[in-house]
Amino acid sequence: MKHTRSAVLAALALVAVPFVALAQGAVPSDAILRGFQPTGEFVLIVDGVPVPAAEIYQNDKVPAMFILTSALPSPVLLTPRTGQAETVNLMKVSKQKDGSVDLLADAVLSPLGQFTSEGENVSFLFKGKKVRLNSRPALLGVKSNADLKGYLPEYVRNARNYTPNAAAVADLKKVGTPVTVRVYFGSWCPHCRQHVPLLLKVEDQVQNPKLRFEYFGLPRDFNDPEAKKAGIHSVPTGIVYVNGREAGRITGEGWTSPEVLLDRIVTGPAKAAKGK
Amino acid sequence: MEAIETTTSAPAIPRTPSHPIWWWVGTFGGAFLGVVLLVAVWAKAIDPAAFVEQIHTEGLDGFLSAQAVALIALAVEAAFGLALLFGVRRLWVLVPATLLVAFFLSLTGRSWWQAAHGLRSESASCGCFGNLALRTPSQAFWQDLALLVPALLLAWVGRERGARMPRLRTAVAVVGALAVAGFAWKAPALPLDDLATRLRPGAVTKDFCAGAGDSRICLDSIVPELKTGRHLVVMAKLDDPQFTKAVDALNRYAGESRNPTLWVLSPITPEEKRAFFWKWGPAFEIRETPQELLRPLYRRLPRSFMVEDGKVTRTFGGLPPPLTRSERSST
Repeated sequence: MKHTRSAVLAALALVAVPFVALAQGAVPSDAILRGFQPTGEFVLIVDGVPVPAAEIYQNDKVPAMFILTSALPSPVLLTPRTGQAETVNLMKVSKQKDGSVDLLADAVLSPLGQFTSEGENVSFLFKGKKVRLNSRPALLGVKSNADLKGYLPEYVRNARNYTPNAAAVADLKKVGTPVTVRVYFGSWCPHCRQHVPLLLKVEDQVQNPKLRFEYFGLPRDFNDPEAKKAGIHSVPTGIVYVNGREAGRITGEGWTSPEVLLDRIVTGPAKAAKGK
Repeated sequence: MEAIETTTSAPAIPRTPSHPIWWWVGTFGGAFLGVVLLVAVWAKAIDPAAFVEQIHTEGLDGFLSAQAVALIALAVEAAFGLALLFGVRRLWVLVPATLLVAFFLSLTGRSWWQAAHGLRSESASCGCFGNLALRTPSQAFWQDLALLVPALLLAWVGRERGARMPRLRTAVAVVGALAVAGFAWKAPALPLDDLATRLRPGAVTKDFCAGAGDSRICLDSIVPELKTGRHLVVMAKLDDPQFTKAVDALNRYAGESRNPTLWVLSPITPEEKRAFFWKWGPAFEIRETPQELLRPLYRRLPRSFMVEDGKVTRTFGGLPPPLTRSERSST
């Protein structure tokens, strides 16, 4: 009962964060503890129960991790190397419009104790609760644009920063034949994190029902029958099917501007025919 | 008065070549093969560590250490290369040279077969040319075949039989071979990084690529930010004590807004990167970079370079001087 009450209070407090941030507009963000970016690399586990809704942020400049969740009595700041876990008053957390999080300049950090790192995972105790931050399992199978963005906030950020080639996007909007782009990727793969979001942005801009995008998550060892059948040796690899037949692949350097290569694969033959 | 008989000119004797045409063809073929072998020796001798790695990868260090095998192989290859270049085409040169060529082709052929059957990365093999040329296994096999076999066959043509042992040329070849071994022994300590690798001032980062086809990957797609602005790039192994000792200095450097953007490239897995994050707390960005892409850029890690608008402006053996200076001053 006591736990339920504290969880409800924590949830209410979490909801109140944006309003409090508005009210505290006068207090500037801390000069150092600011710009925490959402990350999808970790999953929070409290007393053995995963908390998928927990918001986990990373700051590469400090560097530090920040955990914001109603499953804990207050937000937690983890500082690597020193192994220090600290808490901060929720009212001193300011969410920014770009999705990042700042601590306010008058935020006071209270020591919680040391965290223990076991390879890529860490654990610590918070008022008797066993808290773990584990690396997230790979996203597997067919997924949508929204699935990817929901799973890895880095994809949202990288998609936001990309400007696709306008001419290629205009061409793709006019495509009249059924085209499917299946992208084999790994949620664990750093290169996918840089390249796949570019295609997510292209998909967002094209909005053509004839052009279907699907994303297929692979495990680290590539051990997947569909990937084997498709002859996937590296990720990300995008296979473009026109009228159900493979017409080309987006690989390697093609990922620098995937919409340009996709346009060439899909409309290239038609353009060439027109040219004749 | 007696007439004095004088001869104004000698009777015309037809001039014959001292060697038949086939001798010249064979000597040219042998010399060409010798040059090819010596170029390969040079490429390996300036980066013996890469050659040692290759010997280990190929499993040729069963009886002797890979270092010893590398030195012996370089000396042998140099000896026969020099002998052929000097026109020594005796059986005791041609037979071992033929075996050497067959051995090289069997290695590159095996790599190609393994790559074709998914047993080896397409870009893992650099062939017998060290890091100067980055070739796929199939390219390595066919290029070696085209360069070595015709020249070898020609080297057998028109050779003199039963002639005296060319002592001077043989002695020069032996001395040259020993000099090559000595050079390779000392090469790691010599400032030859720019010469031995593809990373040198003036190089363009978009040209640093590895692999072929679907697996081709370039540095520009791993760190696209290098295309514009000023950057300091450190290539390192994250578990290298020399690097971990410098993390504080790197953090300070990264925290100074006036400095070029700092990047660390390392052939690590995401798991290793996360473990490094918790243990060492880097305040700079680490990008996982395939070993195939990094290997042609260094002889020893760490190695660093400055980039301006996608062009390499300076290279440093080890960590760059600004970091080593601040590290020294902080201790």
